Amino acid sequence: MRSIKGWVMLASIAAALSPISVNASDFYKDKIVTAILGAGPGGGYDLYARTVMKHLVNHIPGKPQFIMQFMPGAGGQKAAQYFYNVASKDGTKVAKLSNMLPAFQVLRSGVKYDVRELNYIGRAASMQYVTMVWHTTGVKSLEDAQKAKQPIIFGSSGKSQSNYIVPAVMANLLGLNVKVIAGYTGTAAINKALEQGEVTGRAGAWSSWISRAGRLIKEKKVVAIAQSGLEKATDIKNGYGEQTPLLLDLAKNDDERAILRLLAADAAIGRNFSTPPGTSSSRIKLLCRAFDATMKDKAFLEEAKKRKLIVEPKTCEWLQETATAIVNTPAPLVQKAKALLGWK
Amino acid sequence: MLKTITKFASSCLILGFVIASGMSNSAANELELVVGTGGTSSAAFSAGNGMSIASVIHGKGIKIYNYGTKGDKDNIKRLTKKKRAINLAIVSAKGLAKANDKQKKGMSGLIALGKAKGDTILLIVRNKAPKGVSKDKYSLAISEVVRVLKDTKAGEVIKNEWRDWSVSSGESAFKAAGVKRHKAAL
Repeated sequence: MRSIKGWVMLASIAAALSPISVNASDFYKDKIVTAILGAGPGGGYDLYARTVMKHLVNHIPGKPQFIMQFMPGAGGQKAAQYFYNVASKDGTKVAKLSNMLPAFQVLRSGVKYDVRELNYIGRAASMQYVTMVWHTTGVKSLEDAQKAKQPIIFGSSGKSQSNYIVPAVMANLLGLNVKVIAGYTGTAAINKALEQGEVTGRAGAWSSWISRAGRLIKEKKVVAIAQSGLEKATDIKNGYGEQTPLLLDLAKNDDERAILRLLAADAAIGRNFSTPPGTSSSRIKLLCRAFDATMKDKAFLEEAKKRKLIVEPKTCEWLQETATAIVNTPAPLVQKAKALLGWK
Repeated sequence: MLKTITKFASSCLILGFVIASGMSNSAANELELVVGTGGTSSAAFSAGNGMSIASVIHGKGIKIYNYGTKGDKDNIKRLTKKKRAINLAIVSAKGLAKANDKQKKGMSGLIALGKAKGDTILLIVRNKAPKGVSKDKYSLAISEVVRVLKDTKAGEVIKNEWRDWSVSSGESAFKAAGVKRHKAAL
């Protein structure tokens, strides 16, 4: 009798410790998981999402199939609002939403979502921003930029874009001699303006620099002087071959650090995946662990390598904590950040 | 830094393949097709969801992905543009009639999906096979799309998403719009 009790206890403990319950396995069998994207097909969002989803479903018990649903518009707000308010909460909907959502939630008015209620399942990679200046300025480092007598003129596509936010921070918080010309139609137009001498600087995602202006870097027409994000990428060098500094490290006090964290958080949120608010905790946990397993999966890593996708994973817990911290930035600091950017 | 540049440059080449096609091979023989639909509250979007789910359950070697666009005009533009084109689009008969001659040459009519707001809802297809996909393979994939959409069981799946689903040839609507029909058309 004692031995039967022992076995029952052992079985109960094993079941409790098992990350995958039988019910969860039953749930996903023959199900289809929809991956909602806040962008159109063909870009980096799509490539990351399809690659991750292809392998993620293999780590979900019951091995469901997946489909993609593209929902671009309003800088990712359309997909976010749909996902937050309409998408079913049974664990069959996963989204790869804009990395700007947490910052937008506190800096913009009228958003119809709360990222603290989204359930992040993991991050595949960060999205580091790099500030580049045109070679004829003679500026080869951030120190040079701080001493420059001529202003560095940055091209921007709009006040809500990182190509505006980063130079605005450099000018208004760090005191660099910088001017921003907004209104360019996009990255290609700013790059053209750089080559034509209309502007002398651009801040953009490192991946975007490489994909759309790799020639300018190779020919040393542009020089990296700073990077923006929460973590420093070690392989981005300035004109002297030194590691470029992280703008966050230049904060002079805690308030400045908090503002810089808020404005650079999108880089850290990066290529993130989530489920809608209201999804059961057991399914969130299951999806988080499936995501973690995917990030270590040899087949996934091989495919990512083949497609030259950067993999810098973070767990759902880390992502949730980071996003929540951004949204919980104290109101006076949010006001300062808005004032710094000229936002109302 | 040079190492990273090289890494990203290669990445762009691969990305370029996906961008140029709007369609890709996810598994060995599986073709991913993107259907342009409309706003999230539109009949086209619901129909697109249904088609997407049905393609996974009842399709062989194809997968249809729903792309919530701005509607008819946007769909026609995306279906006929040079790069990052979509493969299929759901449009109203009235919207299709507004396509210009150049656009009409780049597309074919496939099937009528039902009615919404008194107008016939049509499915059109891009004529040009995506980069890296042979004409034959693309043609077979389109035939498979039509087969799935005609399937009664697939129809039941789609009806769960859009109750007005009712397939027909749409021959007169395509003729009225001046759009020739695809050889795989119903």
